[in-house]
Amino acid sequence: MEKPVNALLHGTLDALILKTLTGGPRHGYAIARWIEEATGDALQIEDGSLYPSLYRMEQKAWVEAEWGESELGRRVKLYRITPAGRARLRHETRQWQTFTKVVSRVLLPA
Amino acid sequence: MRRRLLRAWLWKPSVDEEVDGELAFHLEMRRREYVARGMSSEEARQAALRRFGDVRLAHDTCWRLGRDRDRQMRRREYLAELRQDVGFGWRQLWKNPGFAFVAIVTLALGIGATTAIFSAVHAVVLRPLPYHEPHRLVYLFERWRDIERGGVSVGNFVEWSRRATLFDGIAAIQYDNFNVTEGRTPERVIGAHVSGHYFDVLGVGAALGRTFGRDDDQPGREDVVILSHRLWARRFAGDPGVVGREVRLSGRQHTVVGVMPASFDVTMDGEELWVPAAFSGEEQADFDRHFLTISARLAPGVTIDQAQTELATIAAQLEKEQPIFNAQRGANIEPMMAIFVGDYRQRLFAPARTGASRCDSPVVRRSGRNRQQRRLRPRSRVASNPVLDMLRGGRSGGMGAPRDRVRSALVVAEVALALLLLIGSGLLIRTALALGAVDPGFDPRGVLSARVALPRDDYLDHTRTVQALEGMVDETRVVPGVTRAAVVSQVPLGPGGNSNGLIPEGRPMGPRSVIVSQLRLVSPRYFETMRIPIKEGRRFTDQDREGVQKVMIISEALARQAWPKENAIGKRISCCEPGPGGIRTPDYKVVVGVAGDVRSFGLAVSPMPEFYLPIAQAPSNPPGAAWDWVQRTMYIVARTPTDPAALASSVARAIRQVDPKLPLFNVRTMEERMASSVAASRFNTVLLTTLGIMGLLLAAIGIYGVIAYFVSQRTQEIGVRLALGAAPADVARLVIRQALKPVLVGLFLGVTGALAVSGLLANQLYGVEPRDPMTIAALSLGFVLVALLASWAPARRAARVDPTRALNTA
Repeated sequence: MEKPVNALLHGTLDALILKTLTGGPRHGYAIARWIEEATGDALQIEDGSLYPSLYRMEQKAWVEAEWGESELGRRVKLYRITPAGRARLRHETRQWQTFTKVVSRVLLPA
Repeated sequence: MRRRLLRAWLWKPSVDEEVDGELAFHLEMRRREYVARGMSSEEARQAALRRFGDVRLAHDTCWRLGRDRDRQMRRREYLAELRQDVGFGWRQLWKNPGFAFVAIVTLALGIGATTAIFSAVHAVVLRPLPYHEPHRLVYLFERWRDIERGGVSVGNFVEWSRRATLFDGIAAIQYDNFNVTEGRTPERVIGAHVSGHYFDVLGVGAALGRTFGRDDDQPGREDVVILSHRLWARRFAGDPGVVGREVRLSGRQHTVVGVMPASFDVTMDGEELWVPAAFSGEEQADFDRHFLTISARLAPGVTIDQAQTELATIAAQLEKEQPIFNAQRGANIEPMMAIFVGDYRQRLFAPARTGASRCDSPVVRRSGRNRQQRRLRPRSRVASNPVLDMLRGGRSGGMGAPRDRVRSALVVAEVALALLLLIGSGLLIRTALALGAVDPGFDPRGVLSARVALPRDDYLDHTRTVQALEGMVDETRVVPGVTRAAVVSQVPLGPGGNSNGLIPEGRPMGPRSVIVSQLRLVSPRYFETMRIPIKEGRRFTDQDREGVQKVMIISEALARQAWPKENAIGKRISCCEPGPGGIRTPDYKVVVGVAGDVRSFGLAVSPMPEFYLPIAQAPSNPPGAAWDWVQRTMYIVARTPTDPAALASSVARAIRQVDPKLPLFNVRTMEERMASSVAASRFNTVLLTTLGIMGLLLAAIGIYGVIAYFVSQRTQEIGVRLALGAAPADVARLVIRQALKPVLVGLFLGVTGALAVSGLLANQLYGVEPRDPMTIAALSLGFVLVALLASWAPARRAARVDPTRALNTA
């Protein structure tokens, strides 16, 4: 298990959330859990930062929300990625690739 | 996408609930997760909170973002809705050109009528008088018998001004004509003699120079004049140096002291110049002749009623002090605004309210608010499927739903109002027809009439005046085309009149014996010229002159009042001597003829008692008195077998043969005078007819709309009926029955309303009762026919419904 990374790069959380939603509509807790599991708990996101990010993306129409029923039978807000969100995700991914490639070349000389 | 947005919108919790619920759910899930890992419930709760971070900050940020998002969404939603509605509306109109046409006509009628009526109201009622605080301005009248707005005698004016305390000022106006010879051709100008207070009462100052002061209003100093802006511009070329200039008015020198502002051009009688009244001491003691118009300004805070009470008290005192002249004379006060505006206020406001209510027509109403209901309607229609209802045994809800009831109520209102207006116009149209058949008592065809004014200074002498008038008649008679000519002091249907109190010989000399009668000074051939029949006795001849027996011809109405069961010829009657002297030593004239009655005050007004005196015997004590009574103006009348209007210039030339300074004015054919005497009632007729027909159209559209909708809503039910063996005619009957229900209710209300308010029209009607059953029945029947016509197309459509298709769409 790697050491938890606390500080996230700008925009990276958004990209992670969007990536999560490509698997289908999820509520906030499920998104948090998915990110934890996919990163093997290495990426410890503060739960509190997740929701402002979701609301911001909702406003930008990258995600949209609908109300459904949770596992506990409660009415819960389910987020779903929109076509604009997918485009954003592709953009963020490309950025990330460029970023890692460039930074790696500097920090990890072959 | 759109439907989802809409659903989210409709079912969405508030932003508060949304954020709270979402964060609480998250924390609860974390807690359960940690409990599952073996923590105690409380440890798990703390851990979940730690993991979350600043709950408050997250909550606030989300709440703010969520609220912004909702606002944005609402805006987007609204614009999308709008776009969609516009598109929907456009496609609907395009698909149903008939409906589009009806909708556009409805809106056009509504907007047009409202605009037209508002313009009229604005021009006539809302434009304020050009005076200071006009609401405090009133007119004062003498009330005498059934005359509410009688002229005021100088004596009463002086006494009222002296005794009344509730007025800031009282001013007298005496309208008069002036010959203005300044500049080019002589012109007859309407003007007024006003008492010193006049301009102060109105609260208007001069644009140039000054208005009158007390000093001007003194006998011997009255040769000053104030010009209206219009007259100043027209005859004095707007000369800024006009103040101080000498001008000749009716042959007398006057000094211009002021010019009024342009806003003052709106005057009651269109007068264009003012000179001081300067009543002499003798005139101030005159309670006999009632010719003044009195305007006054109420003191601040005084109501009309208070002023009326005070004035009535003063009038009662004056009646005691002047038992002969002020017998049965009271006083009357009315707001100036009301007089200026006349009864247009009443005439215009009632229809204006009707016009405004058109905005509630169903077409306009429906477009606004019910967007969501409309979109949701398919669902609700399933819920109350008429077929199911009917099969369940109910009589179904075609007209039952609240919105349908509203529509029916609108139809009821439309029908009721339209019928009301149509009954009004029907009554006025019948009045017009009746008036067309009325015998005015003379033959107006082929008669030209024109007014000529005799300047006081040139025509003080009685004999000279008579000679001049006879000269005018002689000159006019030789104009080519003229067969008869005469002069008369007042033509029938002309403005104003000269009423006199007559006492037949043998009756006691007192107010109770007086018969009020209209004086006409005429030249001998007046009756032939106007073709007024002489029923008994003789006409005037050239021998009826000064120095021989004084004669008069009276109208049948006067003969009936004076000697109800006797022959009037040879009887004597006293008249026309002014003052108490005339009462003590009556001046008798012999009746030599009885003329047919003439409707001198309008075709709808019953003939009044009238008496005729030959000009040569016009009362001349005091000198010129009779000519002053008739305002020193006479009408020349000329008959021709051809077009009378074509005579105008030759008659004017003939008058100038007698005196080149005499202008001819108010030149009109008698047929024109007839037409303008019915102009007011024609204005009403046109107005009410237009509104009534528009109402009828709108009602028809409303009926059609409601019934068409009714049919479309009940297509399934109709299909079932047809499938069960109903004949198409039965279906058509059902539809028409539905259509007639609100119409009949509306007709009932309309007729009830008409019976209640038609009394308001009573004074505009002639030859027809305000509640004429014929008019009401005919128009109601007409309305039923229109309703049948309007429901005809939907009924036919209903009868042709294909049962199978109707059931399949259910």
